Amino acid sequence: MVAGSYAGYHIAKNNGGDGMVGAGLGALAGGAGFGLSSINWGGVGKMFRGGGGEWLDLTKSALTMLADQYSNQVFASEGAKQNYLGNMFENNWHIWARMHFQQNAYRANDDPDELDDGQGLSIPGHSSRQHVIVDAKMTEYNLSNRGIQPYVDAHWFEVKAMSRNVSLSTSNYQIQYEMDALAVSQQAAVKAGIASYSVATTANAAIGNSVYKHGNTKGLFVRHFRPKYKVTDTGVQVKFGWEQSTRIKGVPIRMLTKYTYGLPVNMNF
Amino acid sequence: MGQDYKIMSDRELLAMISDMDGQFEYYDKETMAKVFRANNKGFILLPAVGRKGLFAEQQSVLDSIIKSGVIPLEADKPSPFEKEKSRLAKINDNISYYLTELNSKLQTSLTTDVEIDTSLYKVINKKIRSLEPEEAYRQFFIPLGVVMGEIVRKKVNGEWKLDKRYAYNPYYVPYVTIGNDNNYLPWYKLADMLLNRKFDIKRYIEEVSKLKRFL
Repeated sequence: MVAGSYAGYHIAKNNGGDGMVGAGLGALAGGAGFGLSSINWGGVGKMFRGGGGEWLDLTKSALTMLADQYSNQVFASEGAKQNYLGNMFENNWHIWARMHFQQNAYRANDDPDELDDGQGLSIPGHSSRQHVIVDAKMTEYNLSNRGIQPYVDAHWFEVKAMSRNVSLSTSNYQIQYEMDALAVSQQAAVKAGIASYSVATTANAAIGNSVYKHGNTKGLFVRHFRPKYKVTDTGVQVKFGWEQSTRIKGVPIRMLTKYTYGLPVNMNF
Repeated sequence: MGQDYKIMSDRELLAMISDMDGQFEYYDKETMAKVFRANNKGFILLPAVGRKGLFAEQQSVLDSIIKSGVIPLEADKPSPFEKEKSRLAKINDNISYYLTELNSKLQTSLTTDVEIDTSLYKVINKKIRSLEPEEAYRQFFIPLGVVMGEIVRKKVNGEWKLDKRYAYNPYYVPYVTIGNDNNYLPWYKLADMLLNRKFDIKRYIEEVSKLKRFL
């Protein structure tokens, strides 16, 4: 059993401290760029600006405020606005995650995964649904004494801009469906102890215990990511933190709700 | 070689590996398949992704398979990209094939030289929404993506490229690029729109026409 990090790989196995090495700001920092000339960065309210450019929790309401201030968008309806916020949050997550997990071949996912057991049978309890589309996937690497074992797409991500906690039943049981589909489709990674399911949310949401328990039952390492933002004179920056957790004898255990934050990226609107 | 190995489920194969670390032999960078030693006798090949693998008594059999570059496994439910792997690998040569297919299914006469006329939006939406989601996905996912991608490619003077993905064997998802990670992704959110009864050609065109970083 190998602990810690290796060459920037993110190893979720027996890792009390989460080995993670950022790919460096150069990879994606800047993203698609800001429309600096058209945005008044000084116009943000003090509550959200945080005085001297402090890092503040990127809650759903802060996200809404930032969108109102900087997106230059007029929303025809509340639904259109919520849709924009969800897409904008997800897009910023992908930019951040791709920078941090480049060596794990992190990618946004648009492809459906079948909800079946591989024998053409639906997973029990899921007869009303035939597929899930998880937001992102990446490769996890198991580091053994005999070499690196890649498990392609063994780590799935769901991204939610929401104010309430994520539970198994969130979005009509989307969370449970995805976890079950992951556990069934990645049995080798489960056996190797590195199959992982992560949820990135706005800062005022957490993952409910039911999700951690379900992950434990299915042999999935469950982790929460949450964001902070900072308004500077030249733009808004965002960074995500990941939960400290570990596995004991292959069993995923949630240790502390304590987050370690990665490198910031410029926020795209 | 056909008789030298056996196709088995991942569940059966994993039952023959007690120690995922200690019994690991190597992996292949091209297919991302892994080879393990079985508990008692023999060797196991687990492909990058999928519910089946191979068992062989001799490791050399699995080595030869990996060397050949093709793992002899077929998915029960391959993704549309896997099914169309050969044609998509040469997408520039197959645009007219998909255009004909799309026009035939929609009963339209679209071309890739101009944007889709807004007067056709209603017809297209009606046709696609009249199908059950799984059927709409099966019929339209690939041809719509190719045709819309080609319309955008011509408009921006871009170039088709292929993004490698893994299943039993690698396959490719095409995208249009104008360089420096400035891309147009014709399949972005398309499966979600088709499978979740959310398809709207106007919204889809807007989405495909947006410049995206590869995320």
